[in-house]
Formats: sequence, C-alpha cells, structure tokens
Amino acid sequence: MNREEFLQRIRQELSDLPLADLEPSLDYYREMIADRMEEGIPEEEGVAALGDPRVIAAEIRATLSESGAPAGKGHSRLPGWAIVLLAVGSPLWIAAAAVLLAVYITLWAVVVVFWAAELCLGVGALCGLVCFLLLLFQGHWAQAVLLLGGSFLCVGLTVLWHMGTLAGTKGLIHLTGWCGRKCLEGFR
Amino acid sequence: MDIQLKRGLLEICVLAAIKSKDSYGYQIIKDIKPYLTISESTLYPILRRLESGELLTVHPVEHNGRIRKYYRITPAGRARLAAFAEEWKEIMCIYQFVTKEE
Repeated sequence: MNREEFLQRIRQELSDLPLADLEPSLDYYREMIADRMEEGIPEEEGVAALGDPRVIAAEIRATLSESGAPAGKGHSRLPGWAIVLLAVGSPLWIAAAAVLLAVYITLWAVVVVFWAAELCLGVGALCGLVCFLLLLFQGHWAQAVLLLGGSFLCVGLTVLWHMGTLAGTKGLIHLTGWCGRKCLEGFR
Repeated sequence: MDIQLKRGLLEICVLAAIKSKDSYGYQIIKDIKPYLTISESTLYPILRRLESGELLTVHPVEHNGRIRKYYRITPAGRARLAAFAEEWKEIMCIYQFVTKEE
C-alpha cells in the first residue's frame, strides 16, 4: 500500500465527516510518511509502520469528537499529579481503608455481642421465673425464693443493660451517617 | 503502566522534546521512543490537545518542496514542565515513604 492508497482508505472510513475537518489529520500522516521516506525508508514500509488505516481512522474520529466538544473541558479530570499520587500511593491508602473497614466491622461486632448478652439476661430472668413456679408447686420453698431473687436480678440487669446497648447502637448508627455524609461531601 | 498516567507523562515528554528547539512530528517520536512507547496515532491527539491548551504553537515550514509542521513550546508549556518537575519531587518523597523498609 502506498501513501495515497493509505490516505484514501482513511478518507473512506471517515466519509461521513466533513473533508475540511479531516484534512489536518491527513496532512499529519502525509508528513509522517514523507519524513520516513526522506530517511531512506521505502514508501510501502513507511506506510506499514503507521499501522492499520482503520485503526488510525478510529483514532482520528475520537480526536475530532474530543476537540469538537465545547472547549474540550466538559468533564472534570484529576490533575496529573493526583493520578500519579493515587497510583503510587495505592498500597498505602488501600491498606488504610482496609484497616478503617476492619475497625468499623469490629464496632458492630461489639454491638452484636451486647445485644446477645442482653438476650441471655432476658432468657435467664424468664427461666428463673419458670423454675421458681415449678419449685413452689413442688414445695421447695428455699430454692424457689433463691431462684426468684436470681430472676429479679436478671430483670434488673436486663433493663440497665438495655439502656446501655441501645445508646451504643444509636451512637454507632449516628457515626455511620456522619461518616457517610463526610465522604459524600468529599466527592463533591 | 496505568493508561491515564502514561497519557499525562506523554504530554510532558512531548513538551520536553520541543523545549530546547522547535521540532516536528517524526523527530518528536524518535526522541521520546527510548523512554516511552509512542506511535504516530498516539502523538497526534496529544499535539492537538497541547495546541488547544496553548502549551505549544504550530509553525508550517517549507522543507524539500513540502510543508512540515514545527511545534514550538509556549511560556505556558515551559511553566507546565517546571510544575511537573516540582510535583515529581513530592511524588518521589511519597514513593520513598511507600517503599520504606520496616
């Protein structure tokens, strides 16, 4: 394929675009081939080195649509240094994010444990009461009173425990909401 | 290498290739090739972008009976190179922090 055939292929691929828009791109490739030929590289070889005309046509299409967009700055892009920083620092921030996630999960685990403990106290209180009634009917007065006392203790502890657990859970939910809002603000 | 990162570095390399004297497409590619892989079709959008960002200007020069386009760096282009050198210092500090032995 010689130079004109190559350029003609690109024109064919981009026949839907105005020829005037295409011309600067074609000039660029024309110059590239001429510079190679001047260096002693045969025309066909110089053309082949540029690659598939269909791929080049696609690149030209992308370039034209990019520069055709108003001022070419429609979408905000991170500055180059920020991208480099994110890439180079990725082992660091990924690790930090993992640690934060682990801490957060741990906090919820503690909350779950507290609720489980409360459940145990509640079940304990109930069992104490049932056993008290059973022992009462069987005539074991002393043991019955002991279990009633234990049951009351469990009820008291359950109430106290519940207040603490509820406050802790609410606090963690507030914290989650607060962190979520901060993250969203950061992204805006 | 990360595509975005390479794209940013290629822009810098193109500016670096024309900073001491005006240059043309094929020469720019030959100058950059030892450092980063670059093809004609990659260079073209970069040149367009740098031109629309006024980091370089284009000057058609007659050469052997044809027109060859020479690219010239602008003061804004030089400022971009200087800014890159400064940014890189910070990045190197972070690199040392990240790769520091225990």
